[in-house]
Amino acid sequence: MSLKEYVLRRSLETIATFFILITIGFFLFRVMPGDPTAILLLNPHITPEAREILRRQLGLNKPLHIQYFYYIKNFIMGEFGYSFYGGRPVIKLIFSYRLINTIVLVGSSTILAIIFGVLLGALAALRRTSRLDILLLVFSLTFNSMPSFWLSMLLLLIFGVYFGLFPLGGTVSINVGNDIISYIMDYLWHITLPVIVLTLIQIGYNFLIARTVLIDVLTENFILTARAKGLPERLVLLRHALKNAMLPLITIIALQLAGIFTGAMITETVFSWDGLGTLLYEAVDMRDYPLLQGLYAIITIVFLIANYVTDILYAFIDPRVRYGSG
Amino acid sequence: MSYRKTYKVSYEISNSLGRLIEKLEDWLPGAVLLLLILSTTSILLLLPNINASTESKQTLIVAMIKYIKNPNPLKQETWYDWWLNLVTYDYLFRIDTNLEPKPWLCKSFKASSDGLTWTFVTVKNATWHDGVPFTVRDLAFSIEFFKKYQPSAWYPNIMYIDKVEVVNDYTVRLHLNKTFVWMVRRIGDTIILPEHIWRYVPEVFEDPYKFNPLDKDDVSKVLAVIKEKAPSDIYTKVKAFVDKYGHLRIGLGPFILTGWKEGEFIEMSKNPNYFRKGYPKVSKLIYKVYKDPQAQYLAVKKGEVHIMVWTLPYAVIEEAESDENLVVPKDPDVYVGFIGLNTKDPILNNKLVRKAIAHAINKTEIVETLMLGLAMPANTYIHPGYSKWVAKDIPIYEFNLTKATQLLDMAGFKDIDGDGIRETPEGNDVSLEILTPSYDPVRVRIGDLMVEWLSKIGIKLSNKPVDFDTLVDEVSNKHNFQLYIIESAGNFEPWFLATYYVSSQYKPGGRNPWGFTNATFNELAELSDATIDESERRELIARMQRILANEVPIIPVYIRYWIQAYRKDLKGVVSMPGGALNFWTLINAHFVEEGKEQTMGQSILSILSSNLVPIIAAVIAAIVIVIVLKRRSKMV
Repeated sequence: MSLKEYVLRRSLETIATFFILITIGFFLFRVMPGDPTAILLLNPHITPEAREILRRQLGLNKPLHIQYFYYIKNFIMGEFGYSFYGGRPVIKLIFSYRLINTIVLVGSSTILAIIFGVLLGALAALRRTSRLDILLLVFSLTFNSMPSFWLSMLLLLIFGVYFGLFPLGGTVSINVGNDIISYIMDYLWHITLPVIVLTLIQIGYNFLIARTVLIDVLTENFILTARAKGLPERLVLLRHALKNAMLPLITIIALQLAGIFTGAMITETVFSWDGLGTLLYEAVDMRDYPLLQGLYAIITIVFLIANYVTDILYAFIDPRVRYGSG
Repeated sequence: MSYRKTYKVSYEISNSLGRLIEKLEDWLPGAVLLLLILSTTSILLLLPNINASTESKQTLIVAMIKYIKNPNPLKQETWYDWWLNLVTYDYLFRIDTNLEPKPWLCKSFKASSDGLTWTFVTVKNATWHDGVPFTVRDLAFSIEFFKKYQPSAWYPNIMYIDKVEVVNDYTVRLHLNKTFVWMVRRIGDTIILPEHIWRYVPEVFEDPYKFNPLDKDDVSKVLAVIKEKAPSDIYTKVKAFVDKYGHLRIGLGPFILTGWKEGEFIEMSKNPNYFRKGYPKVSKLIYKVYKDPQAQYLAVKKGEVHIMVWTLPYAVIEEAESDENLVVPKDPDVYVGFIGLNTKDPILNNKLVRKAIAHAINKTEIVETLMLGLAMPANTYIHPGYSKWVAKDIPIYEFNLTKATQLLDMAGFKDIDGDGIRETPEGNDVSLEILTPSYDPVRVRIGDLMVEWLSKIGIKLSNKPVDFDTLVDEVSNKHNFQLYIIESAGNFEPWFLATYYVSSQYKPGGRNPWGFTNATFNELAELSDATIDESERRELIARMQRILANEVPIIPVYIRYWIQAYRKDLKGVVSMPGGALNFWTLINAHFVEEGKEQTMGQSILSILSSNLVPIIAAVIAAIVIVIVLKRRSKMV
C-alpha cells in the first residue's frame, strides 16, 4: 500500500470511528441514572414545583430517539445547543477562557513532564543501576503514585499558607492591574503551584517509559556492534539507540498531548483553576447533556486526531507499518 | 520532505539531545544542590516578612464554592445563582433569623378574609441601581412576566395570581384564583425585575432566557431598543449605568454588581442609595471562588477571604478552633438527615415495624460518635428552626431495643425457626435493604450501624451504598426501595408539609415516594392551605405533624452543623439556621480596624528589597559550592 492510500484509508476509518463514538456517548449519558433536574434538590431555596416545570422546559419528556435525531442533525450543522444551566451556547462555554486556561496549565506541565521525563529516562538508562538511576527511579515512582489531590494540598499548605508565597486559587488576583505585563505576571504567579504539581506527577510516567524503552534498545545486538566498532558512547546513544526508541515514545507523547484537552479535573478543582476539567466535572455532576455532549465530542475529536497523526507519523518514520497493515 | 532530509533533521535533533543529556549528567547533582540551597535559604529568610496580601479592610471577601451558573436572573436553579440574587436584587420580605418572613420592601400587607385578595404597600424610597425609582409597577410587571415565561424558580410562587391591580405607585392588590395562605412567604421570596429594562428584553430575545445581561453584545442590543422606545430620562440613566458598569443586571439590592471574572470572582460595591439607610456596612463585597472546601478553609486561615460559604471539613475543625484568628460557629443546617421508608413495602407497610425501626436507631451515638458532636439529633417533622410551627407534643422515639422488640412481637413478626431473624406472619425472613449515598461516608456508616442495631431486634438489614443520582432515581422515580437515608430541606418546612405527604404526590417523580396514604392527613393538608388565620393554621399543621409522628413514613435522624468559619476581625456576623453567612451578615458585616492594601507585586518587591544582602550571600555560597563540586568530580 502506498503512503497516500494508507493516509486515505486511515482518514475514512477515523471519521467512521468518530460517529460510532459520539453515538455511544449520546446513549451513555442518558443511561446514567438520574436526570438533570436532580440538581434542584441540592438548592434549599427552591420550591418543589420547580422540578416539574424545568423538566418540561428542557425537553426531557421527549422520546429518546427524537432527542438523538436532533442531536446528530444539530451536530452535522455545527450546533451544540444551549447548556441546561449555563443558559449559554455550549460552544461559547467551551471555546472560551476555559480552553486557554486548560491549555496553558495542562499543556505547559505536560510538555515539561515530557522533556524532563524523557531526558532523565535516557540518563537513567545510560547509567543503569548507578546511584543516580536509583535516585531518579525512587523520585519518579514516588510522584507518579502520589495522589494529585494530596500533593496539591500539601503545596498549598506549605507555600500558600505557611510561607504565604503563592495564592490559594484562581488564575489572577482580584486587584490585578490593568496593564498586560502585570496581568501576565499575576497569571504566572497563580499558575506556578498547579504546574509544579502536574509536572511532578506526570514526569514519572514519561521517565519510566523512556528508561525502559532505552534499556531495551541498549541491550540489542546492534548496539553491541556499534560499541565494538569503537563508536563513542554519545553516537551509540544518538544514532542507534534513541532513533530506535522513538516509535513507542511518539505514541505516548501524542496521547499525552491530546490529553491536554481533557483538563486536569482534580488539580483544577483544588487550585480553583477554571478550565475544561472542572467544566467536564460539573457537566457530569449536573447531567447537563448538551454541555456533556459538546465536551465529549471535542475530546473524541482531539484523541482521534492524535491517533491519526501518530499512525501517519509511524508510517512515515517506519515504512514497515504501512506495509504490515495492508 | 525526502527521507534524506528527515534523516538529517532527526539526526540533528537527537545529536543535540545527546549533548544535552551528557551535560545534564555533569551538572545534575550541582544544579539540584544549587536549587535546594537557594530555595531553602530564601524561604527561611523571607518567612517573617511575608504578610498575606489582603484587600482593603472595607471589603468583605466571601469564599464561594462555585461561580454563578447563569447570569440571567430568570434562572436560579443553583445555589450559586441564589447568592448573587440575594444581594443584588430585593424582595418584599426577607427571611429573618427565626425563619419567618420579615417585611422588607413591603411596609404592610393585608389579606381579605377569603384569602383571595392580598394588598401590599411598599416603601417609597427604593431606587433601582441606575437611579430609576422603584414602584409597584415593577412588581406587577415581574409577576406578569413570570406568568408568561414560567421560570422554574419564580413561577411556582406566583402561579395562583390571577390579576394584578396597581392601586397607586406603592400599593398593589393581588387577586388569586384560589385561596393561597402562604402568599407572603411565596411572593416575599420572589425576585423583582426592573420593568424599564425587562419589558424591552423580549423585543430582542424572543426567548428571554437567552439574554445574558453581562454580555456586551446582548447589552448593547437591549440598550438600543431602550433608546428607541423608552422615555429619554430613563434611557439616559440606563446608559450612564451601562457606561459605568458594562452590564444590565440592574437590581434593587444592597449591592451593585461592578465587576466579574468569569469562573473566578464577582465584585460588588455598596448601593449608596439603598432604601435601608446605613446598610450595607462594607463598601465592597467580593465572592471569590474556591472550588475545594479545604482550599476555602486555607483561604480563610491565610486571610485571603473573610468567611467561607461551605462548611468546614471535619478533619480541620480542631485545627481551626485552635487558630486564634478564626471563629468557628456551629449553626444548624437547613437540611435534615432522615430515613425514608417505603410504606407500600410488604414488610414496612406495618406501622408497628416502622415504629420498631425508629426505636432501634441510636441518634445520640450517630451525632456524638460518628459525627464528632458536629450535629444534633432530629426528632421533629418540621425543622426546629421554625420554632413557631414545630409541634411540641409529638412522640419521640428514643433508642430502646426492648420496646422495638415488643413492637415487632405485637406485629406478629417472630423468629420461628430460631435463626436469629424474625419471620413475617407469612413465614418469610424479615430482610430489608437501605440505600445510602456512597459519596457521603457518614451516611454509609449510619447504614452500617443500622445493620448492627436492627440485627439485635431480629431484622436482617443490608446496606447498599449507591451514587446520588441512582438513589434519587430508585426512590423518587421508580419507588424501588425499602429504606434510604438522605438529607433534605423542603419536606421539613411548614408551608411545604402539605405538599409532600399527600396521597396525590405518590407518583413517579412525585414528592411522596414513601407511598404514605392517610385520609385525615390529606384533609388537614387541604384545610391548612385554606386557613388564613395563622394560629388556627398552626394547630392544623401541628395535627399533621402528630399524624406523621404516629405513622412514621420517615424517621428524622440528625441535623448537621453548617460551620462557616470566619476571621475574628469580621464583626456583625448574624447566626441563623443555615450558617453564619446569610443576608443579615452580608449587610451587617464590618471590620474593626483599617488595614493596608498590598498587591502581589508590592509584596514580592518588599520581600526582595528587605532581604537583598542575605539572598546575594546565599547565591554566592551556592555557586561556590557547585564549582567546588564540579572541580572535584573532574579530578576524579
